[in-house]
Amino acid sequence: MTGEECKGMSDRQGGHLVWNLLNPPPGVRTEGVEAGLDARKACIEERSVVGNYVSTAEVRLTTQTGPNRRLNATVGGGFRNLVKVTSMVAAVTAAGQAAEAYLHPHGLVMLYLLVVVVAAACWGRWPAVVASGMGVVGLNFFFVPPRYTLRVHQPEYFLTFGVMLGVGLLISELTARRQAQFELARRSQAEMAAAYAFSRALAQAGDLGAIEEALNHHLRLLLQPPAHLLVGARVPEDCALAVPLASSRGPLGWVCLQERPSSPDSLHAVESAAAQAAMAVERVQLGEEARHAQLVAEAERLQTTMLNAVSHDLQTPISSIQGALDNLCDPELDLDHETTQGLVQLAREQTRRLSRLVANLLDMSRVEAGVTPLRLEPVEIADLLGSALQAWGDERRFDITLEPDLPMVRGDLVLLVQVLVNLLENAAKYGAAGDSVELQASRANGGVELRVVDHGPGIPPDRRRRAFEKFYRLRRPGDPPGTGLGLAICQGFVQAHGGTIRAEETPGGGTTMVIWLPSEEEA
Amino acid sequence: MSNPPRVLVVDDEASIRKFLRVSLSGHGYRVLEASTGEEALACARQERPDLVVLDVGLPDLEGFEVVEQLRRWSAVPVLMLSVRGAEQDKIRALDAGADDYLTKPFGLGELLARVRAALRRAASGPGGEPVRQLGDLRIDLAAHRVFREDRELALTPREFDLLRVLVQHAGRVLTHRQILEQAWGPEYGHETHLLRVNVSNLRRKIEPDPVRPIFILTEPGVGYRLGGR
Repeated sequence: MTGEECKGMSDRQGGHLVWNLLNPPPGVRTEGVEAGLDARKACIEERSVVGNYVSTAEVRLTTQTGPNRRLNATVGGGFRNLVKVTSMVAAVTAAGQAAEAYLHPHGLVMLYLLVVVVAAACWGRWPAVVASGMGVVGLNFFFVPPRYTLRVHQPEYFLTFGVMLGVGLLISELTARRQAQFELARRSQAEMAAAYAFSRALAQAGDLGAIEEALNHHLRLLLQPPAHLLVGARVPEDCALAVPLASSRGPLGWVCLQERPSSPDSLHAVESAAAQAAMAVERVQLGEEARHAQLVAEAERLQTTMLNAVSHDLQTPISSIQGALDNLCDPELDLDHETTQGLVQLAREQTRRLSRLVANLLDMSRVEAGVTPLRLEPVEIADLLGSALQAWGDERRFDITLEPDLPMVRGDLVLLVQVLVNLLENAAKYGAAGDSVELQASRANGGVELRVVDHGPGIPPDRRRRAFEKFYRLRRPGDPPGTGLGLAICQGFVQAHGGTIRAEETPGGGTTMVIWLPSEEEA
Repeated sequence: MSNPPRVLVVDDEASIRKFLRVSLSGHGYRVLEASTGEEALACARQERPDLVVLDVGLPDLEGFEVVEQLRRWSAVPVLMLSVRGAEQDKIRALDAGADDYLTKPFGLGELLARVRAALRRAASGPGGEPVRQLGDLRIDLAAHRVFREDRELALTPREFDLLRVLVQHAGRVLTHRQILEQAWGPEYGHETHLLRVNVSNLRRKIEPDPVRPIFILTEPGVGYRLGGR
């Protein structure tokens, strides 16, 4: 294939095809065809710098329909144009002969020039050049005496022929230039559109994968082989060409191409694509760093809260126990029986509190490490409620509402009992004194819903979600002591069962904790 | 005792209040109780206690806020209770005017000793003798001279200022900032390095064994206290 044929191809509605390529209509393949490789490489080499970007895309598109068919079509088109030009010249000649009586050969020159203008306008430079030549020959042969020879007796006709040929060539040249300018404008428009599409894709890319995808899409348009984005300082080894990702913070990595670009121009295009990709990579990295810093700060804040809470919750019962024992051992104190019993009772209570806290902390770390092995078995709801009440052992009154024929749930009875005990404890602690605690179980959404209802002060709506966070406590004056771990542990255990837990407001005031567990068939 | 000293115990934990009540009342104090900061302030205003034992972690007010508000109209000694790790809370409360602190869990013997010391300091009032005896040291605050037995110790003016501040608040915990501001000036409040260097030099001159000081005691993470009476 020659440069001329390439041009012919790109002359044919190149801009339109490029637009289609950027926004391919359904069904249009945008993958390259191997058979066209040699042809398109040849074409790329013929390209000017300006034309490189888009023209390669056009050539690529021509390979899509098959290079040979396209080649034939181009040659055939040239032939057809030649036939058309010839017949137009013949028609002018015939008309000239018919109107011979009224027309001087100098007048016919105008008609022949008209053919040249039409040919130039419709089919470009070479048909116009052919038309000029044929016009000169036709005029000479048919009209200039001696007629039907190519000899010329009157020297003034040489001037006529010269001017006619010159004007014809000038017209064809001007037309060709106009077309070239038009082509240039169309190309730069398409080039801008491609660059815009690329930068938009990069701007939207939220991670390195998306950047790589945008880059590869763009490289496909440039007829380049696909590339890898390699982030890091190490120079990649198995690349035909590695273009650095340069940034204000130094090199970020490399664009690794599997094959070398076919020309300096396409190398240039790859480099500018890499520069754009580098900016996107830098933006993504800065974003990631900011997110990471935020996460670290958040984790540190949580850790501080946790340490403070644990140290407060551990030190308080220990202080109380030590204080009570110090009092009991103090020889200077003259304690009566009641006070002594009170101190012993205090030490016992605080010891229980301490051991519950330690158990909670251990459970919490099990939940967090995800190592609590679930011993799953079919669990009957009535059995679960009964075991929970027994395990808690408080003398408080319970109102239990149990829907008949509840399905069984699949779960670890020990953990589920613990969840319920925690919730019952909360209900008793925060509920109104002397009030009964309500326990309800019903069917819901292919599972069972358990409700623990109290009529205490309730949780403000904006804190209901936070109530399940580790160490989160409302800390209202007069609230009984607690660790802020109970609900977090409940949530961990319930979620391990594939269930959910949430806090609702009890109608008329108070908190209702709602646990949903999938039924045995669903689980 | 016909008119026993009254101690206000402020803690949101009932168990802590309970054993403090048993212990303090058993040792001859009259005990008042409060479970929140607001309650404590109201009680202090009404009952005018002789000493306040204040837990730093209250549900409604920060410990230093209670001290700040209390200090607007009262010089009552404040002994704080806090947990290990809450050094920043202690420092803020001491800077706000608290007198001393104890870290939970603490022995009741220690608590009673601190209570007695605080009450004694409050009773003796500020000022006092220009010449103080500290172990075998004789410190002449008016003449800016320090003697061990009859031999004078050569202190730099800064070292003497540092010693003077500690002596004037003997037994009390002073934060780094309080010492720096009183010995060097308000603009030196954060020059803790300066403080450490001078404390180290001063210890070499006045302590029998600078590694195991008996006069200038370090309160880790908080400040210093003068001991050894």
